[in-house]
Amino acid sequence: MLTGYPRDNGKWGVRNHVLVLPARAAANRAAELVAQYLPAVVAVAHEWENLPGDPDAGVITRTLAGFGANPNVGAVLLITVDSRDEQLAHELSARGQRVSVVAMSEHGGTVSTAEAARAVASELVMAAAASREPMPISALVVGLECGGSDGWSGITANPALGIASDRLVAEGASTILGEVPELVGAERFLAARAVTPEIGQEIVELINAFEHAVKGLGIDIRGAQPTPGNIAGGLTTIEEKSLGAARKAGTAAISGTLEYAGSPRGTGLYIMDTPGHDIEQMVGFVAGGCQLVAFTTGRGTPTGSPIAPCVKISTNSAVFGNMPGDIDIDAGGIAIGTETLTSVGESIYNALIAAASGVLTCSEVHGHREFAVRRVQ
Amino acid sequence: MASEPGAGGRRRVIAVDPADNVLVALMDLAPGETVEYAQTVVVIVDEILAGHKVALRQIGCGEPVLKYGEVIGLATCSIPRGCHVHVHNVASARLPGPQAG
Amino acid sequence: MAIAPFQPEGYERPNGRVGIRNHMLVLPSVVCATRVARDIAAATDALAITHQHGCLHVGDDLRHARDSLEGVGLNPNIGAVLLVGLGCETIAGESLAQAISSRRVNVDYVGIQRAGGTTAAIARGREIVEARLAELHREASGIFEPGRLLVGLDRSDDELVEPLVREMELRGAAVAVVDGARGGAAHLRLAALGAQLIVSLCGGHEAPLGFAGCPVVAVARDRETYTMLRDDFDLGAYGLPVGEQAALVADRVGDVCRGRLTASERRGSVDFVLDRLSVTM
Repeated sequence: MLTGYPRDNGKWGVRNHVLVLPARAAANRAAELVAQYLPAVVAVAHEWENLPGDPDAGVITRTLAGFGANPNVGAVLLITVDSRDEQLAHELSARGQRVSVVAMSEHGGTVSTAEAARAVASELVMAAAASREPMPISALVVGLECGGSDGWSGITANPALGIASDRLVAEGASTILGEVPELVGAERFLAARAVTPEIGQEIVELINAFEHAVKGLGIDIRGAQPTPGNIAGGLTTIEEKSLGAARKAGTAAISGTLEYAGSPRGTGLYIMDTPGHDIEQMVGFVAGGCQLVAFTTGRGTPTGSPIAPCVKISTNSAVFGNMPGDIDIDAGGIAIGTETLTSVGESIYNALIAAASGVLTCSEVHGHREFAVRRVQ
Repeated sequence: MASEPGAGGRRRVIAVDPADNVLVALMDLAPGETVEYAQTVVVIVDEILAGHKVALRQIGCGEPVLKYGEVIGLATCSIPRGCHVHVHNVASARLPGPQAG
Repeated sequence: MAIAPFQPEGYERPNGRVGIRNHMLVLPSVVCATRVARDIAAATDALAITHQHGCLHVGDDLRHARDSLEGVGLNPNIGAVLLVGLGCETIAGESLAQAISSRRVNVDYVGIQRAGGTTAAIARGREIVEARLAELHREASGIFEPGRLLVGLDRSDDELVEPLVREMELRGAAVAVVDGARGGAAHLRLAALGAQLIVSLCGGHEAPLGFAGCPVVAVARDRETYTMLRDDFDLGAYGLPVGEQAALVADRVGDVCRGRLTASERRGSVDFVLDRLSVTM
């Protein structure tokens, strides 16, 4: 049975973290110290300095606010430098998140700030304490991701994840497909499934915009897309990678497109404008409200999210055997006939429901908490 | 997805879609081995690692390479049946990079 | 009055450079390797950098990111590097390790996929770091000529820059001044250029950053900024004639290059900020 934490704003969390969020890079060390003092909280670090005139201030503020307001977070302790960082506190409050602010300028430096923040953080941990309750599946939002893809991805793990995604959507949950660079070549396959012709057009435009930007800049994307690991794994071109990647989203109708870190307005399958970069993508998904991520990997990627469980699915049994403890489910049996797409699809669905309901994933066990915010300028 | 069993009963290649002109190796294949798909016998020319592609029929220079029943790129030279199909003889039709095409 | 030259104390490197610190650096080539890098460093006496890059860069941005990571590993304050890669990333950890090694810096490599996952990579990395650290701890420091010291200044648009450059040069050091980058990105450029020490000039409520392996002398340029974050600054330089301010900063630089810890080193700030030249794919 799916369980979670009901939130005041009507959303449901599948974890109940207290997040220590630095408002800018100069506050990273203070946030890190708070998490060292108080292991019950989770801290992230990022590279944004909030320098005056930064053209990315809007998208980064939106991303950090969305991440902190994810329903897996019961409360946020925001470490600011001074009043210039208050916008982020307002954005968190506006999204219905419980937030306390500790300003470095009021404590004279990093260490004294961390000491003061520790007391505040322990109060937040107590205030956010909650019990799990039966959760409606319609409240679940699952990110669909692949990283370190290989020639098996589009044959084993991705279509099996697609079966799980189709089932979740049929039961009223939401799933989100991202990595627009890895949809080049798959637009016909996706646009035909849009719930309206307008949304079909949005999908095509999203992918075209990326392609035109790359061509306009005269950039050579070889070596980046596909990556050296993809090529070693048998993927030849971006189209081949894309056609395999798009299979993560199954065959369900596509309800809409989302900007980076944007939240779905309804339920169903959505496409988010994210880069292929695994961590920038995962942060975008979580900032957009995903409580859970399903992540297929061919080469073996151990990463996870600071606040969302991430279920890893290997595309081949060799990588599953080679990285014990990093991968939750092996889809490699599909290629050799010991499993079917349907049987692995069911295993993935069951693992997602179990992870949402509290079972730790491999990346959580290892403390994989990678974090990266997309820049657009 | 369609496939033919190998001598030991284990499938060695698959075509993801019946329209494809490449097969995906399910295990490492050595030159001289033969695999069969849809009444076509393919003698393996190059070493093909598992997960990589082998030409099911000759693909002429500039012709589309088909996997998933879709175009995944264009052959940059003539690719004989049984040869490894990869970055050395296929380029993206969408984002080939400034030096290509 | 004759000005005494700097008398920096440090470590001779096989490539002819000298460092004023002797750190072991655990450097992830990609964000996916940061957890393993941090766990290795936390279990040992090494420093680890956490960053968000290494995959799906293109064009000039790829070169810039790669050169920056390589430069951090080549900084003369680093006695040895453990490069941690994943195995499928754009900036391949193994080739980065080879590039650093070709400049005669001690470097080892652990690839997470090849090592057999997170746990195995951490275990392998710990073994390597402990062995390398034992070697580093046996190295003796010595006094070196001030002309081998490169001091980095993180901005060019401050009236203190010119007198500060003069003061450093009078004391025998070379100076690099960053133009066209700010904050953490400026620090990264200086560290990658080989500066053994960075002077950071902060005014108008700017908060100081630290850098892994490279001491940052944080100088507050106005009383309000200094008061606000007094513990994180090494000194305030304001209210006096600029020549006297420059002399105060130079005195502190002299102490730091003889082993005095900076505020950033004491609080353990190892900030890493890479300015991106184009979007991630």
